[in-house]
Amino acid sequence: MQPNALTLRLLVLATFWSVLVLVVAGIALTAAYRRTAEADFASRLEFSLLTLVAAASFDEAAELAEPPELADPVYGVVMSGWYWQITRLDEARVIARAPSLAGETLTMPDLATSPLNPQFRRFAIIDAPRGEQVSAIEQRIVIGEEEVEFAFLLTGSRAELLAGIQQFRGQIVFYLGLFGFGLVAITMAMVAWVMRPLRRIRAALSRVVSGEAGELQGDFPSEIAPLVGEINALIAANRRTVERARTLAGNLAHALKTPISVLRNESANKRSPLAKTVCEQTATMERQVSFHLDRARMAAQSRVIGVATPVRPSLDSLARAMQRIHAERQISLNVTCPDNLQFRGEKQDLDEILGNLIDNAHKWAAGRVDVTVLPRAGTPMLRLAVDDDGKGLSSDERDNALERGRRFDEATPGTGLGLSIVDELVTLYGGELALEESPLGGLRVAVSLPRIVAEGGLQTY
Amino acid sequence: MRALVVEDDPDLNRQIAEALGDAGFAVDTAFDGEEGHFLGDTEPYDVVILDIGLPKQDGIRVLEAWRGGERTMPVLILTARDQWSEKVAGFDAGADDYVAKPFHMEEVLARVRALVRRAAGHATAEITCGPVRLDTRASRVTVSGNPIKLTALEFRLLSYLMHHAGRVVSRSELIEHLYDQDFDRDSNTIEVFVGRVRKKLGVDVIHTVRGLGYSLAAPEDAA
Repeated sequence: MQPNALTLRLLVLATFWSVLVLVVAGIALTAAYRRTAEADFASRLEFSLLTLVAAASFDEAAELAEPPELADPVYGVVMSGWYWQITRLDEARVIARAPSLAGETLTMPDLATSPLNPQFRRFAIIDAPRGEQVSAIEQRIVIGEEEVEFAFLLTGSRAELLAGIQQFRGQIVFYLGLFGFGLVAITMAMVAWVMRPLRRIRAALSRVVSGEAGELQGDFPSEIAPLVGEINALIAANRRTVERARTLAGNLAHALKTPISVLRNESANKRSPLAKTVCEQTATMERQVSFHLDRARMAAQSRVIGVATPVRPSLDSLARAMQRIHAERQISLNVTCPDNLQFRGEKQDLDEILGNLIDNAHKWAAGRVDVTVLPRAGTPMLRLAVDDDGKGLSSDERDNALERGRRFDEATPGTGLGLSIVDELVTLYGGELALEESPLGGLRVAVSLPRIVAEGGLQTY
Repeated sequence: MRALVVEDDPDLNRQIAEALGDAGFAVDTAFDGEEGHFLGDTEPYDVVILDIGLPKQDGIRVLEAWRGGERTMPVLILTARDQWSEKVAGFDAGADDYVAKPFHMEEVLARVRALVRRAAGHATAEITCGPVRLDTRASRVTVSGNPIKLTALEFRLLSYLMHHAGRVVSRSELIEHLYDQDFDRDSNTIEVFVGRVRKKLGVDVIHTVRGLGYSLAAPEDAA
């Protein structure tokens, strides 16, 4: 896909936006969940702490009457991360601890780094004996008349909390990711659906270019219908312009050539210097007019798109014409051409190419001219070969033969422009012209030209 | 031999008509498609020179109308639009040959003569009848190799008979093919002309078929 393809643009934009929205949503959701989970965790710790405080009963000497017990079984599981301990601060002595501690002692940070709040309570994340991190809550309580200070410390497993958050994050990523893929997939489907009329335009246009259709056909959405209309108008305008240019060239030819004929005939059989000059100048005029008019016509024609010309009818018409033009000479013309073969271009151009080549071949032939037109299998081209059984050309002569206005033999009528016109037309159509030795003994002119390839790929014959 | 020239340019029309006249044709001229169409439809021409670009009615239309109406005389088209597609359109309409403008008058004459010969069934440029030899290219007649001087009308008469040698040509047919349309025709003059031609040739090739007309045959074939 090209970097500026519309599909790519839409996809990039949609994907970028989806990813951005989903990432932000994921972060926000996880943060909210974490806050809630932390708050739940804190209140659970606080509740357990209050339970612990309530469960601890002291005698008058501020000694623990009996070790308190918490109902929650986690405090009985060794190294669960859920611990508690009661410390008599004046003696710095742990007077009771949860069974889960298995005799180990928890240490809170200094008061300096973790001060008490007005309720004589402080929170901290500390390292438990096994090395794992736990959230700790400590409550200072003064008991008895001697005002002995105790620290009630209770911890909860952070691993458990973090695992919960982690699990939540995992689920969020999974579901949002799924959602994101869904969005991109829907965008792609949307793009494909929206782009379909554009693809249809492209198909219609390629049918026009290949000559299968004269204009863009089909119903298109209102957004691009005007575009289709404009393109069709352009194709029609192109055709009209070409038609007009051709008519103008034709009219100009008529307007110029008739007076030249008159001048030439008037001066032909007279001997005055004036007549001689007129004769020479009209000959020059004639060559120039022919040369430039042919090219004007060619320039007018070569840009027409969307035209197809069946080869067979043109060949048949030309064969009939040749029979009359060269009726004096006994020449047998053999034409080989499949009926369904179509030239991708203007009929006038095909007639001009075939006419000049077949006419030339007749001029040179001793008694036989073969014309063979066949599709070149596997390519969108056709191959035309015109053979004669005349005396042919040497390879040097063949090299020179395509030069402009060259005449092979002054005795044979013709301006010599025929072959160069054909060569230029063939080149305009992207084909090639080559002069070869014919199997019949004379000259073979081999030409390749574009053909219409039926929908469904390149036919092979 | 009668020829029709349909060409809208007056100078070119005159030049062609003069050249054909010099070559021994009785020539009628028309300057637009309608006039040409009418003449070609009503007069028995041996050859027509037809320009394609004509006012009032296009040359192609005129030709199609003639061929549609069973007019089979040979037609040479003149065209300035010398593209093959135009030439092919001309041949498809029924033309027998074409000459592209600008042209050499000799080429037009050569093609006209060839058309006339072909229409009469002769393959070569020379028509012979016993010792009499007609060179259509040079408009020359020889008897046993000696050139014979003939007037335009005498030449036309002999030429028509030689082109149609072997069949009987009626007097009225001869008249129609010897004179252009403006000529005051008199059938009695035909006999006078035939007599003069016989005398100039000095050999007995023109036979009178009583009540029908004339026929040309080599002396040894004659009954």
